[in-house]
Amino acid sequence: MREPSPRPRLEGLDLHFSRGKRSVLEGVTLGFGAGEILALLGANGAGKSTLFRLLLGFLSAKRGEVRLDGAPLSSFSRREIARRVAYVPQGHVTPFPYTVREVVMLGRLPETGLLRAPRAQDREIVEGIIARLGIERLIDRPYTEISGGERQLTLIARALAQGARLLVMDEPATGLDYGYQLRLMRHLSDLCAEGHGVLVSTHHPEHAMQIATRIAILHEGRIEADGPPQAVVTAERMRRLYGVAVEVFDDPFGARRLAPVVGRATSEADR
Amino acid sequence: MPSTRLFARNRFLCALLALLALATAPARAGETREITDMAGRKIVIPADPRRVFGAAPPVAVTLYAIAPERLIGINVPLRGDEKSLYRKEAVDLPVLGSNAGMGRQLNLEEIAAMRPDLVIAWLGFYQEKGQVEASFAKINVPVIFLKLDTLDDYADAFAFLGRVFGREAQANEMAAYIRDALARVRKATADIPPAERLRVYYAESPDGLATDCDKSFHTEPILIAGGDNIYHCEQTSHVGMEKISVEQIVALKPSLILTQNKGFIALAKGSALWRNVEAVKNGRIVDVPHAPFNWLDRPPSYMRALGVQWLANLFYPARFPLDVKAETKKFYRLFLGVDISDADFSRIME
Amino acid sequence: MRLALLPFLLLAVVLVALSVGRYPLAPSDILGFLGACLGLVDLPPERFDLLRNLIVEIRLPRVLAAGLIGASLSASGASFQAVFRNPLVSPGILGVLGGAGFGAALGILYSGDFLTIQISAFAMGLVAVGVGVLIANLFGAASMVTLVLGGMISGALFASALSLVKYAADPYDQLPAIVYWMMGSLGAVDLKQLKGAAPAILIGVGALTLAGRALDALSMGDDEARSLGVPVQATRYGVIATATLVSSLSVSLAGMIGWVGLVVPHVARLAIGPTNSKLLPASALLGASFLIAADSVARNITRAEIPIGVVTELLGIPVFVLVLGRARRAWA
Repeated sequence: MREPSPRPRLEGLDLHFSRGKRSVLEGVTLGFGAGEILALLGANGAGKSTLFRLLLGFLSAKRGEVRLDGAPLSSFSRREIARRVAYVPQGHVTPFPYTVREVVMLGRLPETGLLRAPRAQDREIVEGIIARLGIERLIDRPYTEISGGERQLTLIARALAQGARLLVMDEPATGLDYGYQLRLMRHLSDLCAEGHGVLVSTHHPEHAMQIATRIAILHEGRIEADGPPQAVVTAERMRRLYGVAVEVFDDPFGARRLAPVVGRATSEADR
Repeated sequence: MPSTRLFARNRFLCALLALLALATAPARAGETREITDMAGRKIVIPADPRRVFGAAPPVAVTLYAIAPERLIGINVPLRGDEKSLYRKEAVDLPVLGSNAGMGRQLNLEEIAAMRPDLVIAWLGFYQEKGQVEASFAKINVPVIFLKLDTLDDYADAFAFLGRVFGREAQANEMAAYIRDALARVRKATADIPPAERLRVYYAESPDGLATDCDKSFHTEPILIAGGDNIYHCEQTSHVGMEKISVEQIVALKPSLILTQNKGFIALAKGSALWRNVEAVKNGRIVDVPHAPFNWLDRPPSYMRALGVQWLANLFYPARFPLDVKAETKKFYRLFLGVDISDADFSRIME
Repeated sequence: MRLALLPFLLLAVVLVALSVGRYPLAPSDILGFLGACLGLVDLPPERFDLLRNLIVEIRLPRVLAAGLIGASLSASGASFQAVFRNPLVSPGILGVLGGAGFGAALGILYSGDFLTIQISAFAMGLVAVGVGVLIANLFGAASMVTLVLGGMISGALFASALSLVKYAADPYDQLPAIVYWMMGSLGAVDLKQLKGAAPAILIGVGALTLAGRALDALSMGDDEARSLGVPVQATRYGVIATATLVSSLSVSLAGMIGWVGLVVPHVARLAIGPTNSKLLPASALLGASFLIAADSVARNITRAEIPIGVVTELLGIPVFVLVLGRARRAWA
């Protein structure tokens, strides 16, 4: 089995995909690697989920190619992919009451294989990661009985237990309360600093601007912009992307901020 | 005189109509009479019933013996492999279902369309008499009940049907046969002490693990023939066929097994489960003849009059000697209207 | 309860089941027989043979059959629940019971030979699942929902075919035989048949247990299982095929025995948790113990045997209600 690259990178090149007659992606090129947080913005139905599924190899593109560490994704086995790229879905409910520890332990599957039982070493890794994310008090609670934010952290812990350096996260902040949103962003920043690469889709441009090293905008099946947050997020783009007016300004600390324009100004801007 | 001529013409017309009516309608059509049926009900029925439906297999099989050409249908399909043993009148009758037991249920509308002038129903243990009356009242056909609980009842039933169909001589001969057979078998086996009675296991279903209680109407012939049905209990359902374990059969030590499934004989002889059952050890497993109707049960019928003699002879050959072949030929001639050859007989007994 | 205790529970149930029956044997008879087997006690040969017949040839196959069938129904039930991500799924989900019932009825109608009936039930159980999968593929790509739909349709199809067979059956002997087969019976299973079915059932249950960790991942969702390196389609179809094979073997041996495959996995999950690598062996052991116990009740409590399917229903339904009460929160 090939060993993961020291500088992991996942990229899609000129990806085309259509569902029936409807074209979903029309020539998308997007990549990210270690040390990056790439935030993907896009309205509902822009094709973010499809792009993710292509990048993770759940779907195959009609045209174009996905490359992992420079080699075609199709040349890797499922297990090899799983040791390099982890997928963090939205916090969902499972039908069976697995404990948090058991859910995170599933992350060791690519390492142990399907048949070998987890060993002491795997248990240590799992407990370490759970502690690191600050959810050790939940460790033996059923995953079905914890809050949405706790579930999201559990799924991130599972991704980390995979040992993969690249994380693909599907709208992790959806449904989280304010505290968990902030906690989530802090964890992502930390992971990036440790050399993980994160691709995260989000509905919150504010979050993206706080933590992303890069922001890409997917609009009607194409990448409309891809670059540093300051360059990508402009009032004009936000208006086109979401169909509402926002004000973009740099705060006294040098960070770019968004503020919604409400009342009379909204209708003016919308016009 | 015009009026006389008109009258004469009318009279001619009337006569013509009457003649026409006589030619097309059965004799005495429309005539009725009142009888008392076996449930003790007084009821008005056609004087000479022509189109008769037996609502349950035991009834229809009885009618098959006494008035086969009057049947408008049968309850269940006849067994295809025994066509030669059936009366030709019955072979092509439509299958109309029944109102008793499992399997095809009759469709009242279908019965109505067949225009029966009399329905004969079974006064069974598990039949709701009022319900049966009510359902046939809907199609406005008189219903009479036959009581067929025991073999003795069959003798009375034949005598009763003889009066219904005006065939007293034939019916009384049948009734007399049944009474005589019963009397001879009872006399031959009456003085056998309970402890010395032959222990019989009655095996039903392909695995041989369903049976019926000794007090069930399903196994009455074993009792009459002086056998001891090892499964002592009261019947709890109409269908019967209670499950039993091999272990219990081993414990009850039957000396003879009567089976309704030929496949079971091979199964029992080849299986370690059964090897300690006494009857299997001694090779005494006997298949019950069933052509054209079963000799013992399912449906219960007057065939039992022959069945009890065969059983008594099987159980106690010394006490009840019997020329089974001659008796079978005689019985089939009298009740089933067929003359069977020696080859037929061996096929029946096979 | 720990997984390690379950084999002892099973052993205890087996010993009790071997010692009780309608043929009156005292505990001293059982001990005497064991002693004689080991050469410690001298029994008259006739007595020894009777005891051997009762204990080894009559009770043992029945106990073993109950154990194997309970294990296979429970393990396949737990596997189906994981594969379909639905705790209410039972081994009949893909139509195997409908098919087996039809096959058995057909066997009774055309042959009446006990072995033919079993083979016919087994074959039609597999055919019914095949038809269900085929129907699922007619809808396009087979997904969870289309598979369940396909199974429902196939099951209904074979149930109506069964009604037709019943209609054609002789109401005097074939029809009652079909009805009794439907209620399940362990009384006629002998060692010969067990020798045929047991290896397949044991291997099947073992294979399902080995797939436990993959099933854990699969019960999270297809995409997540894929992202964890699990070959989703191969696992799903492999598990469905194995569980189907095992459950239709057990149906062909003993007819319809309901509720075991649904209830036992829930009880096992309450006892040792949902992790399939432990849940599957636990379900198998618990299912075996449960069915042996249920069968002991069926053959001992009254003089007439109560059909085993009726006993499992009577015991299974209240247990299921209790379990639902405790597990309810997990599904909210």
